[in-house]
Amino acid sequence: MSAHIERSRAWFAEQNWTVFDFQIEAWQAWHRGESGLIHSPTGSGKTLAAWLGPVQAAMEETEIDPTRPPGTAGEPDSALRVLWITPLRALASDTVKSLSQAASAHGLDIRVEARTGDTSSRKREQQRYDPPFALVTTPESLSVLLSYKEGERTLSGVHTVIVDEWHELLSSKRGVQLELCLARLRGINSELKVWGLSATIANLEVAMKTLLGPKQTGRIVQGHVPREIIVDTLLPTTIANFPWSGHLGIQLIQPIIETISEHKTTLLFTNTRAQSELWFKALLEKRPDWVESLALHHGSIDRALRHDIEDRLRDGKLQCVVCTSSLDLGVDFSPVDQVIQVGSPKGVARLMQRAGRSGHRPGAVSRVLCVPTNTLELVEIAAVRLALEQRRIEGRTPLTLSLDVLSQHLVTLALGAGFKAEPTLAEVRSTHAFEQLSDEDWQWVMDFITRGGQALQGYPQYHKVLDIRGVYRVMNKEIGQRHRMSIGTISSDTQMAMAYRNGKRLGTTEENFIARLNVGDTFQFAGKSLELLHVKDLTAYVKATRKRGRFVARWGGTQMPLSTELADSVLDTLDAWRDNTITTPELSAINHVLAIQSSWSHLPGASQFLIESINTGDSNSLFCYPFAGRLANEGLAMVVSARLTKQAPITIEIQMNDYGFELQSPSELPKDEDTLRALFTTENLLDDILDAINSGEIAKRKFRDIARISGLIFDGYPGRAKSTRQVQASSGLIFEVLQEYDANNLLLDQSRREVLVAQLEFKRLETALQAVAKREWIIKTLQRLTPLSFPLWAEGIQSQMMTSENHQVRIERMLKELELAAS
Amino acid sequence: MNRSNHTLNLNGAQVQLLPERALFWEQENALLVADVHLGKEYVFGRQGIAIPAGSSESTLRRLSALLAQTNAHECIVLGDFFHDTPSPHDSWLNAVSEFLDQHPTVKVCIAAGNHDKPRGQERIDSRITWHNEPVQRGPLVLQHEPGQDDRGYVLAGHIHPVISIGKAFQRGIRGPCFWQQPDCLVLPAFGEFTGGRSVTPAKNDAIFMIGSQSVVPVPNNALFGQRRRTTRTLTAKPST
Repeated sequence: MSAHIERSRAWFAEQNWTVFDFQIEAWQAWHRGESGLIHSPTGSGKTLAAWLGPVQAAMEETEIDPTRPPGTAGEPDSALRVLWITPLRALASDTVKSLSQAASAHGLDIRVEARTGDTSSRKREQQRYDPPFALVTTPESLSVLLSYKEGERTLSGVHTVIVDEWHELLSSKRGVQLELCLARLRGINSELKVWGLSATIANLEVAMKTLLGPKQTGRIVQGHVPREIIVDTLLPTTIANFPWSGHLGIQLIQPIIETISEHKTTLLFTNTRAQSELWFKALLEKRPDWVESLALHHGSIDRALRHDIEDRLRDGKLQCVVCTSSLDLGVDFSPVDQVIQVGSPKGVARLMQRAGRSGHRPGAVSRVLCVPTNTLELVEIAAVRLALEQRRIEGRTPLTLSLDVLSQHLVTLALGAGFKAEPTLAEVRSTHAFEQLSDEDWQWVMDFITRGGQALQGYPQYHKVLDIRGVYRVMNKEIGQRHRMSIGTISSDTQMAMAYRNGKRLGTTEENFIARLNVGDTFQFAGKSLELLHVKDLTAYVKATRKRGRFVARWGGTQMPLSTELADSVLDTLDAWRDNTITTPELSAINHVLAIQSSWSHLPGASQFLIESINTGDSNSLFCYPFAGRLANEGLAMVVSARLTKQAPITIEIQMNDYGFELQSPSELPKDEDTLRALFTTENLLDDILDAINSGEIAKRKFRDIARISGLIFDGYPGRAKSTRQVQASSGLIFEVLQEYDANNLLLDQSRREVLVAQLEFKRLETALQAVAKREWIIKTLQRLTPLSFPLWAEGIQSQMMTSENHQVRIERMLKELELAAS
Repeated sequence: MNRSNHTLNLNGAQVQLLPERALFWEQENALLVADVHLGKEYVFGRQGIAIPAGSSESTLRRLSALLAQTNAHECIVLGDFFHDTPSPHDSWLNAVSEFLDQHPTVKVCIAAGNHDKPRGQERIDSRITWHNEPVQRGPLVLQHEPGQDDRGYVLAGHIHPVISIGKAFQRGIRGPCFWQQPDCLVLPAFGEFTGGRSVTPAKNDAIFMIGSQSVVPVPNNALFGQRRRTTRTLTAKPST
C-alpha cells in the first residue's frame, strides 16, 4: 500500500504542497481498517487526509484488474464505496469538485456525485440503480436513501463513511439521525470504516465515541495545532454609562468602513439575521458606491442568491459580505483577509471558527476585529481573549434517547427493506444515543409506529407499520410518500416564502412577522426595501420600493447563550479589574461604567452573587445575576417565579440576558436573604421546573419539532399541501389533545425533557444554583437603575408571563392596561 | 367571578354569546354551535397519524351538558358537524346516537359545511336534519361560510376565528373569539380537536374573546399591532 501513499506524496510535491504527518497517519490508519476522528482547523488539509486512503485503495483495485473500472470489483453488486456526509447541502457541490480533482490527479477515473435535497429526482433515481464511487450527501438524504426498497442494496458496497464538520452535527437531532443510519450501515457491512472531521472542541473523545458507537474503538488523528488567534477591538470614542443593546455598534460605522476599504475582502459576522440586515443597510447608506461589491448572506436568503454570493466571494469580486453563522462553515474563501465580529461572539470555539475564516493558509495567524454593540460586551471581548490564552474551549454534548428520531428511523427502515425487531433493537442500542434505551421505551416506540400508541387501541383502522410474518413494513403508498417528504425537512417554525410578483424567490421569514404587517407596509429583507403586496398560499408577494422600510424582517430561533467557559472568564475578568491585575484597552475604555456599578451597587466577581431590587413606581423589580447564560437564566427565572407564584396569587414578568434575569411584578417581591435563598434552593428543583414548564407555553413550542419528526404533523411543502389538508393540525393543538387524552405519551415526556436539557440547559442551571449557594450574597436596594440592571429593564421584548392568577383575570388586566396606555 | 353572558341584538334577534363557544338564541330557544369536526382523530388514525381517541366523545358530552344547562329545544350546527366521511365502524357514530337518545325532545339540524359530505351524512343517525343550502329563520340566515345575504343577518362558522391581544411585537394572549361584522357573526369552533386561525377585524367589527367564565369584548386598541385594516378581507381560511 505504501506505493500508493507514495503516489499521493508525488502529487503533493507537484503542487508544491507539504505532506503533513497527520495526513500520512490518517491514510495508514485507514489502510489498516481503523476508524476515527481527524481533528484539525479548517483549511489545513483534513479533506485530503480522509479522502486519499480510499483513493489509494481504488488505485490498487484497478491495477489488479485493469479491465474493471474502480468501484466494481469484489462481491457487492453496487459500485458505491464511499459516503461523504456534509452538514450543509450548500457545501456539497464544492466538495464534489475537490474530491474529483484529487482522484483524477491520482490518475483514477471514478465518479463523485452529490445527492442532496437539491439533486433532481431523476438524478436521484439514477443514483439508486447506477451509483457512483462516492456520494456526497446529507444525513437526511442518507436516511431517504435507506427508505427505498433497493436502498440497502445500493449501500451494500460502502466501505467508508466520512463525516465532514462532525462537531456541527454532534449535539443535534441530525446527529442522532446519522448515528442511527451509521448503525444500519454497520449492520450491512461489519467492516465499515467511519471517519469524522472536526474543528476544535473540548470533548473530542466523546465526539469520536458518539460517531463510531460506544463499543467501537477508534483513533484520534491530531492535525495542526490550532493557529494563533489575535483579537483586536474597535473601541468606541464615547461610551454610554448604560448599555443599551444594539445601538453602540452602528456608531462605529465610520472606522469600520475605513478598515473594510483597506482590506481586499472582509467577512463581517453578526449574531442574528436581523442584525445583519441592519448592518448591510447602514453600510450601503454610507457607501452607495459599494452596491456591487457588498453582499448580505444569511440562512433565510434564497439558496440561489446565496450560491451566487459565495461564487463571487471565491472569485474575489466582493469587498465585504455581511453574514451570520451561515458562513461559519464551509469551503475556503481564500480571498478573505479580514474578519470582523459584531457583538460578543458568546463562545470561545465560535470565535476561533470565525477567526479561522481569514488567512486561510496552514500556519498563518488568524486575526479577528471585534466590534462591541453595547458597553458590557467590551468585558466579554476582554474575557474571550483571556479564555483563549487559558485554552478554555467549549465542548458539545450529544443528545440521547430522542424517541421522535427513533420512531422516524424505524418507519424509514420499515419503508425500505423492512426490519425485524430483535436485531434492530441491538443495532439501535449500539449507538451512543440509544445505548441506554430501556425495553419499555422500545416497546412504546414499537406500539407508537404499529398501533399509534397505547391510547389508540380503539382504532381498528390505524396502520402505519405492519407486522408481516415478523418483518415490519410500510405497505401504504401514501403513508410512505408522506414519510419520505418529512424526513428531509430541517425543523423550524412555520416559514413563509417571500417572492416578487414574477415568482422570483427572495427567501423565507417567520409567518408571524408577515402576519403582523399590513398590505402596503414597507420593510427590510435580504438587504432590500420591500413593500408587501399580498399573501397567498404561504408566500408573501412583494415589490421593491424606494421608501425606507419601517420594519426589519424577524426570524425565530434563540440567540446563542454566553457559554459557561466564557461566562466564567467574564467573572474572572471583573475580579481582575477590581484587583488591578489586568489592563486591556477594552477594560480601560469602560473604567467609568464599572466604577458606577461598583459605587451605586456592587460589581460582582466569581465569589459573589449580586441581587438588586428597585421600586419603579407602579412595579417592583428584582435583578439577579447568576451569570449562567441566557437559557439557564431563563430557567432559573422560571423556577424562582414558579416558587413565588405557589405562595400567593401573583403575576410576574420575566426578562433575561446572559448575565442575569429580572422579575417584575405589580406586587411586592422579597428582599431578605433568607427568603431569597429559599427561592434559590436546589431542593425539589426538578419538580418545580416541570411545574413551571407545564404552566408556560414553553413545552408546547418545543413539541413542534417532536411532532414533526415523529410524524404527528406533516408540513408538506407550500403549494403542495392541498391533498393532505384533512390530516393537518397544528402541533399546539396536538399537544393539547395528547395531554388531555393520552397523558402518558412518551413524546410529551420527551418535549419536557428537551425543554429541560436544550431550552433551559438544566445541567447548567443546577450547577448555577449550586454555585450561587456557595457564593457571598450581596443584596442591594437601588435608588436608580445600574449599568447591569438597565439592559434587562430596557429589553422587555423577550418577556414571558408566569402567573398563578387565572386566564380570565389576565385577559381583563391586560385589557385594562392597554386601555390606559392608549387613552 | 360572576358568570356573564354577552347579549347582542342581531337584526332583532336576541342572542347570548356563551363562553362555551356557543350561542343561545332566546326567542327561538335554540343553541347554535359551529365547526364540531366529529371523528377528526379517526381520520388522522386511518392515515397513520397517531392522535388519541376521545375528543369526539368529549365534544358531544360538552354539547349535551350545554343543552341541559340552557334548556334549549333545538340545536343548530353551522356546518362541519363531522370532519370527513366516517368509516361505518367509527365508534363516534354510536356516540352521536347515544347523544340523540339523551335528548329526545331536542331537534338537531345542521346547515352543512364543506366537510359534511353527503355520503357522510347518510352514515349518521337519521334523526338529524340536514340542510345543504343556507337556512333563513326569522331575521337570521344560518349557514356555514360567512357572507352577506339580503334575507337577513348571517350567522356562520368555517373560519375558527382566533384573536391575539397584546402590545405590538410582543407575545400576548391568543384565544378563540366571536367575530361580529356589520352583516355577519362568525362563531368560534366548538369541537375539542379544532385549531384556529388568527383574524384581522376591520374597523366596524367587534371581537368577543372567550374567557374561562365569560365572553370579553375586546376594545379596538387592544388588538395586536394596534393598526388595523380599513378594508375588510374575508380571505381567512379555516385551520383544520
